[in-house]
Amino acid sequence: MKSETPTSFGDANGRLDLRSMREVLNEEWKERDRSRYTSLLEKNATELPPPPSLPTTEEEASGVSRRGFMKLMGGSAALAGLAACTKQPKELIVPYVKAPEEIVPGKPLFYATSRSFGGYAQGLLVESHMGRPTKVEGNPKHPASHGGTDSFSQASVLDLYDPDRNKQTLKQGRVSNFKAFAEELAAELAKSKAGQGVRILLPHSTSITEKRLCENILEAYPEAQLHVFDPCSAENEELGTEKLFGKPLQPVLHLDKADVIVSLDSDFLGWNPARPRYSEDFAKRRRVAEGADRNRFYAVDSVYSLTGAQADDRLPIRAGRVEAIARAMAAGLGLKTDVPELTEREASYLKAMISDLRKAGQKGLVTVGPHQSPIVHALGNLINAQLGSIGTTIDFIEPQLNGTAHAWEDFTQFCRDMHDGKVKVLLMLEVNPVYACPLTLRFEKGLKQVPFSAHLGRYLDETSTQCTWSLSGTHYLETWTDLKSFDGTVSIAQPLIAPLYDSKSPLELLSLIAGEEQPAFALVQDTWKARTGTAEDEDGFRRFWRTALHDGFIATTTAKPWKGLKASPAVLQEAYEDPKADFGLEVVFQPDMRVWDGEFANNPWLQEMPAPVSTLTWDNVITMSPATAKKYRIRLTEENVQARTRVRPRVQILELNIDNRKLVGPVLVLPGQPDDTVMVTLGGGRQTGAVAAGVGYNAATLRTAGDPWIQQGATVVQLNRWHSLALTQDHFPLQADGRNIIRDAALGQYKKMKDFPQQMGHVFDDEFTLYEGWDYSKGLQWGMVVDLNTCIGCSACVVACQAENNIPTVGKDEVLNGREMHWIRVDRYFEDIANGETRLHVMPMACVHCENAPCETVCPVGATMHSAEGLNMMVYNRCVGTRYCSNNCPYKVRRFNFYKYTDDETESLKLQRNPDVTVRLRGVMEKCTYCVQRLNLARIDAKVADRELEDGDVVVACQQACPTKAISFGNINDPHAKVTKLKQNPLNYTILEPLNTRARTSYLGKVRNPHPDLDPAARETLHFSHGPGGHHGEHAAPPPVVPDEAHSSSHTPSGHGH
Amino acid sequence: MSTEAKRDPDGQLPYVHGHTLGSVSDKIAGVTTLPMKKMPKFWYGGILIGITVLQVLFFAIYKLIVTGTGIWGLNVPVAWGFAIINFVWWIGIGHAGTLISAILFLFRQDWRMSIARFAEAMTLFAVVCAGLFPLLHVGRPWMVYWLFPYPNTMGMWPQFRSPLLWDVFAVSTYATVSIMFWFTGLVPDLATMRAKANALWIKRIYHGMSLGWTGAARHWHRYEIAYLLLAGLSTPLVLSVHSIVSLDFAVSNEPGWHTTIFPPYFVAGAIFAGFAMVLTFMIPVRAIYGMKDLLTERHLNNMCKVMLFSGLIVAYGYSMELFFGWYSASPFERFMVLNRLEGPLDWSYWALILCNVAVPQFLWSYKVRTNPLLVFIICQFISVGMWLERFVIVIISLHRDFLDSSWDMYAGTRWDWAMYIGTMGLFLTLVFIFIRTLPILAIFEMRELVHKSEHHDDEH
Repeated sequence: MKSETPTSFGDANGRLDLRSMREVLNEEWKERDRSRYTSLLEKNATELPPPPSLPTTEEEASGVSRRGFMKLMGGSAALAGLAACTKQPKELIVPYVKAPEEIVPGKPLFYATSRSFGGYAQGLLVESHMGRPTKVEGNPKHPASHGGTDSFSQASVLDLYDPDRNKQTLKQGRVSNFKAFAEELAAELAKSKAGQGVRILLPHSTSITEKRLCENILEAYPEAQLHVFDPCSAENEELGTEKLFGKPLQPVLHLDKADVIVSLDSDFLGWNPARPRYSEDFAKRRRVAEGADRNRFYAVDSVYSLTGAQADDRLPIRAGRVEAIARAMAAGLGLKTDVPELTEREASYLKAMISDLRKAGQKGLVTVGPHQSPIVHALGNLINAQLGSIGTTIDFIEPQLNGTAHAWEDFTQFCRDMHDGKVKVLLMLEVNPVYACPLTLRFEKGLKQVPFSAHLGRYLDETSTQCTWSLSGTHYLETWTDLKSFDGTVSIAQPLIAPLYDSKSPLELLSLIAGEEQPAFALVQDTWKARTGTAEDEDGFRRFWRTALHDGFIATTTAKPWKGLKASPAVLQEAYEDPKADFGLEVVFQPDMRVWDGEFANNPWLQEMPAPVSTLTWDNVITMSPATAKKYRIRLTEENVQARTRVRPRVQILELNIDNRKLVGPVLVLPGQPDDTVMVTLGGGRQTGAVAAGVGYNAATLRTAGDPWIQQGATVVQLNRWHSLALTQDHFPLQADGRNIIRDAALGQYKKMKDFPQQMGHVFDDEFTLYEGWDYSKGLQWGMVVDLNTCIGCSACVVACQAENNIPTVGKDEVLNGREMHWIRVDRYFEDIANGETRLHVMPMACVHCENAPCETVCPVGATMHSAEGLNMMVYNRCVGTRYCSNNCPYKVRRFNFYKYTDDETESLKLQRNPDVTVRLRGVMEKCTYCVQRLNLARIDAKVADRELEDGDVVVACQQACPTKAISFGNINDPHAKVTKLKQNPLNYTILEPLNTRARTSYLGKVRNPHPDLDPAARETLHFSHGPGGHHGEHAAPPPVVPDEAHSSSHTPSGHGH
Repeated sequence: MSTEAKRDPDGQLPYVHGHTLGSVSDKIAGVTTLPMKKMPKFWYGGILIGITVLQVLFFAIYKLIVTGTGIWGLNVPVAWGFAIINFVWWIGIGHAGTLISAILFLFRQDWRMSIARFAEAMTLFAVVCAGLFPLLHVGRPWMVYWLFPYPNTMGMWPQFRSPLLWDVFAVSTYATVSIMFWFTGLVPDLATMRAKANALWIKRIYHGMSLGWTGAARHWHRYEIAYLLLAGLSTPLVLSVHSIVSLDFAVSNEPGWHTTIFPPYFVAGAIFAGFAMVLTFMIPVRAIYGMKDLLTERHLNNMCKVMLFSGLIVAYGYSMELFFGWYSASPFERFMVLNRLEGPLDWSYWALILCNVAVPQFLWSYKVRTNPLLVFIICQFISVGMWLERFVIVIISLHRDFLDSSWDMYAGTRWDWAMYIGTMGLFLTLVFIFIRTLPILAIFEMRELVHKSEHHDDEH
């Protein structure tokens, strides 16, 4: 990232220059104190003396006399003293988990708070080092988290320190102040007749205080209007329930209770406000090693989604076809409806699925993706009603979002009003419609007709630069609010740090519009004083408040599910039109799994996070299946099918055209993507932001407000332009040669041979070792187990590791050079299955901490050594950078600082760094340390408490972030530790055993549960031969490979790409 | 003295003919004592190119140290690239000299006398070029002295299990012994140069360097013993250096590196490459300085035989790599072989086979062996081929190893090439300074040859 004011504190030798550092810091603090002083003046002028430097007489105003000079000098001195004495406003925040009386230097504190994601609360615990929030974790008690997080939450802390943040109040690009804005706004509001022409544009939110303030505004200005702009609005869910039940409702899934889950294009593990929680629920039925009752998951997938990749049986079809599937399902379950003609594959898939659903009955669950039409939602939930699963696997609650369910329609009307000149005053809070609004609404042009417009946000973005006023907005860690989670549970979100800049929160701005500006703290407290009826009862309120802040949520607020819902089958009667055969290419829009709708586009951690499934970084692409690419005669270079021979793979740039709406972007051919459809993601093509600008295309050029998600009739124009894609992993034709990296079997096979992963490998016996090994049987011995059954490949661990371990980002160019720095990566393997479809396997891979570590023996300076606790350690100071260790690492998990990647010059970014982890220099090797800083902290804590370290005392960063709890970590010498028990499980295996590295990280073999009719290989008995005369463990020979697809047991991920 | 060269009993021409003891001295020393203005254009052109290209090296090193190893095409998994390839290549080239001086000396191969000096000088220069790479390829070159075991306040000691450390000792020992060996062989000639030098200051330099050599019988006696001892000391080094270098690879567990055949096969490759490089310089020098009578076709013939032989060992090495890839029954080894044969970088493997296996087969022909132009062309193939061999070993093995998820591609960047070509500039510069300042052939040994060729009839 570019630094705002580049200052280097190192001298020529790289040594820290304390003097210049102090100078810069003093400058910054002076500025901050001054701004605090002026803002205090605005707020309560009575408490403070007038600023002494203001001219009071004409004599002084006209020039500086000697007396005046003395006064000024005295005044400045007084001001300096004053600034130091200013009291912080008293806003109590309550520490969670560890609550020492005071801050202990070097010890982090954790506070519960919440972040809004699509408007819904994400329950978080934020780590604070000496008042600096450095790391975000999930709140173990919060219903939307249960301790897990997603990559967005993990990366959100970096946004706080983004040097690109909008730091000032600007009027038409010139520095102004908030007071001037408030005055001008008051004048504008007074001018309007009861708020006529006053419009406020908000993102989707569940904030109760926001709702209250909006009501206040409407009370004060009855003619004013509030609109919601959310480019990822999931309103179709509610519109579908409105169609079915007569009122808009919000579904709450109970994935752990479902024996059969059917996803109709629903990416509930990726695109859902309850993402971490649903991931956990989903994983609960997959922990085979812990005796879970494995359920079956059917995914009808119109893109290669994170969720679809987890399916036991996946049907890739285009999004427009999903309604046909839904109707056929309904018909199969005895509902009368118009059934379209099905292909053979669809029919057999449906036959299996329906028989399973019938068996499951009320333990079946159908869930529909937010981008599917309301009709599909209605059909899906009608099937749920038919199965009787409403109340068991799915509940419906009142919609939690503020504002209308018809957000797009309402927004379209608003745009029309703008063009008609009906909008006189427009306030936009934390939305970026100039960037994200479909071009068909010509938002930017409409905005020019608005005489007074203001934008509040964290960035000077596409929208704020077009507005009269641009106001600096707070980060969620800087302000108070109250949010509801997916199940209605309310969280009171507390700040961890005073605003770094002169920023306002949306609540504060809303209160200003409503009449009087109040701090967010007071606003939220007022709401809850009224709600709890404790306005008079100070003690009662304090108790409530402290509990709510401590827990991070208010337990009693969980929404009650609707009982006795009556589904109206009218939807079945709606005629179904099968799209004509030549509908052209279908385009499906999806929020990007890295940068969402562009909200995180300026976050380099997320830009560099390899997207699940495609492993793409720093870009968005038009994703196309190999067959479709052939059909449209895309000039297939080798790179298009990812069997790459160039250092920098290049792909063709295409132009998609629907009714003269155009989108130009690079094509990525991805196996497993359905045919005749392409996926286009939001979040690219930003024009502002040092990180975001120029990355990818903007999908808004092709979208329409009427059909924001699925468009048909696209034509493809091939441009003679090429583009390099920074993929971290290529899709090589995988070798079906017995590498046995991923070991999986069907449930039936597993039941007959529980230790199939071990049977597939070859464990070295100690007796073949020439030298006596080190005795690891004593003391603490760290180890990790990753459950491949529950890992969904969401990559939260990747970002969590980056945040915890001060891992730098390297930028697109260096990712193209193959130098990404992630200590943990999520390996992705495609496996060919019948019908030209693919199965996806993911495998998190970090340093496995080999007991016989190949890296250690080859380092000439002993910079990588083994600890007595079994850690493979890096001594950065000693490393000269021969990179021999990386060459000798079979897992290739070592990362080298080819350049000075760490930005140690940008002031604000320094605040994010974890003080317990060294920042690495140029020219040294680094890699996963098993979060040694956390191990040491836990060891010290145990020692201080004079007790043995117990299981659960240490939670490493990837483990803590994992929403499905797929990662277990602990002392493998502790017989009661979870990790030890899992290591003894028959499913436990380590990869590349023939090398005898004795890795401390092992994996649990994957047990799939396909319907035997759909995967005949699942019926076969597993058989592994260990060579002539050999017994298990003696030979390094691979199990024989059966190249014939139909007979191959599924353990050999085989190739494609040609 | 006859104008017609006498043939030896096998019907071969002598290694030197048409010379008297005096004319040999005059001819060889004449190159050095020639006034600057009379130096041939070839020399001026050569050193101009050398120094120009040397600037490329300086700039590449500057850029490397200022910016970082990232200017090269390295990545993870291919964490070693051109630097290591070039290191091994130059070290290989540096093998011929000591082999010719030491081993052939011990085997009493008289024909070595004509080429020994030149080959030894080249060895030294090649080792200088090679030595640059391991020093500069590390991430923090300013810390590279940590590889040496020296007492320090950090209480740190190198890690002796690492083959890179063995390299440090192997290469530095080799360089030291080679310098000593070379210098010892130079002493009698330096005394000759002292006598022939035109200017006083030059005379003084030669005087100092010749260590008071008077040509006394006692001096000659001491000299012979010292030289023999040094030859004995150097001989195991010829085998050890490249064996140790090969252990950098063989000790690792990387498919394509983890091979027991590497030490002998690397030594053979080094001799192969070294002879090719000696011929590459010898052929133009003998043409331009008119030394066809001192560096005869018989020399070419013998050297080509050595090349053909070492080339066949190398070819055997290649075939064994393929065989053991299959025979290991390890999926990784098998894949490695297939990836060489038909992977994305297969061109380098097939080009290697062309250069190192196919083209040298022409050397079976006597006519080819004694045709300087053809030999010169074949030597170029071999030099390229040996570079490709290291490319295949380093890059193809690394870029696709155990976990398919880590596979990547590799290509050298312009800075990789700049470093490589830059060291050629360094080499050229050193060679042309050598040609100008020291006798490129061992004068006294040539005189010995003249003596022998005149008197071999008497011996029978």
